[in-house]
Amino acid sequence: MSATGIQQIMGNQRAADDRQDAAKVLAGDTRAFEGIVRRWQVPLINLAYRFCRDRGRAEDMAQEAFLRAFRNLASWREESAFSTWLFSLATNLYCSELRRHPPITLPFDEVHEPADPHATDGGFEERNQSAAVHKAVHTLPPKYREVLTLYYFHEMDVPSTARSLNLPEGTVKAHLFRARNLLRDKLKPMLDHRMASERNPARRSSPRITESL
Amino acid sequence: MKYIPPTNETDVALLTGGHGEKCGLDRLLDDHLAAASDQLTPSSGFVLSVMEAIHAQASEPPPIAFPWRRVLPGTIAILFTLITFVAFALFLGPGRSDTAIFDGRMNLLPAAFFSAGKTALYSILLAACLSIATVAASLRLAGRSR
Repeated sequence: MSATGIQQIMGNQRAADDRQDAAKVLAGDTRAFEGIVRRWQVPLINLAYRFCRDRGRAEDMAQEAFLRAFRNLASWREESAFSTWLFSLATNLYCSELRRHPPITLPFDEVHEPADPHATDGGFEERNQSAAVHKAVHTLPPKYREVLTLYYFHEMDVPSTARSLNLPEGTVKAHLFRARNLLRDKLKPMLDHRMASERNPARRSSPRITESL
Repeated sequence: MKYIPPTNETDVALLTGGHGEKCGLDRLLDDHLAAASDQLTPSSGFVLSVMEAIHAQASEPPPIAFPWRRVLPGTIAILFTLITFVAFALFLGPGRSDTAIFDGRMNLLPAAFFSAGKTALYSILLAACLSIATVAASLRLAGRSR
């Protein structure tokens, strides 16, 4: 059986378990909510982490999302998948939470760069690039940042992103387009460096990417 | 640059310069924003902590519903009183004598009620009655909730 087929079967099983647990919780069996928490803790914490880049805060936000889901479980109409409803609720919560208390982003001075870029290994360069990309994403206006973060979280699926944000797909595409244009300017030196590295793999020096941001 | 809405999701990559493949920026973002290495594992006590919060919330008594049935008669009475006051104010406004009220408009009301001195007295009495009724209603509600 193909990997996609296995994933689909697992997804269907999850959906059935969600429906069953939700029905039990609504009937008064609070303990049945544990199944929902176990199934969705990893995606919800990771989604929160993509917004705030702080592990402790991500867990707090995910806990609040589960509490809100528990309180509003009766409002899930089963028209959409439980996961869609849960992600939409969590996304709304995370976005409003981060608008009230924006995350503290790492100053560029703290994104360390090697004294001699040629002497470092690829792991450092990778971390350095990652920090710069996340920093650049965090400098985007919230509406673009939220769409971009969710788009990559949902494995580049526009409809899922649109459902999570309660936005039309056209708006999501437009925001993605603008976010990418802004990021292309911010990450230009890094992109140039990557392209150069691809053309000439021997050249692996790390550009001073953070200076450009 | 003018935005041209793409027709489907794959067109987003085309618009960004991918031309059927992921462009440099797409790959960079994909590498760093969707990286599996970025996956967090929840701390060991996370489920327990969430379930504790859930149980605490479930054991809380449901919030007390607002007592509309009790409040409604009082609200109607207050509205009626306010409307009456506004009506009085309009009829007894500056430049109008009390007797003007009786020139065919409100001749159903007793004449004595609108004599200058008595009108003020009635207003005061009405306000006092309203205050007493409000206080009594509050005390009654507070007494029942104990």
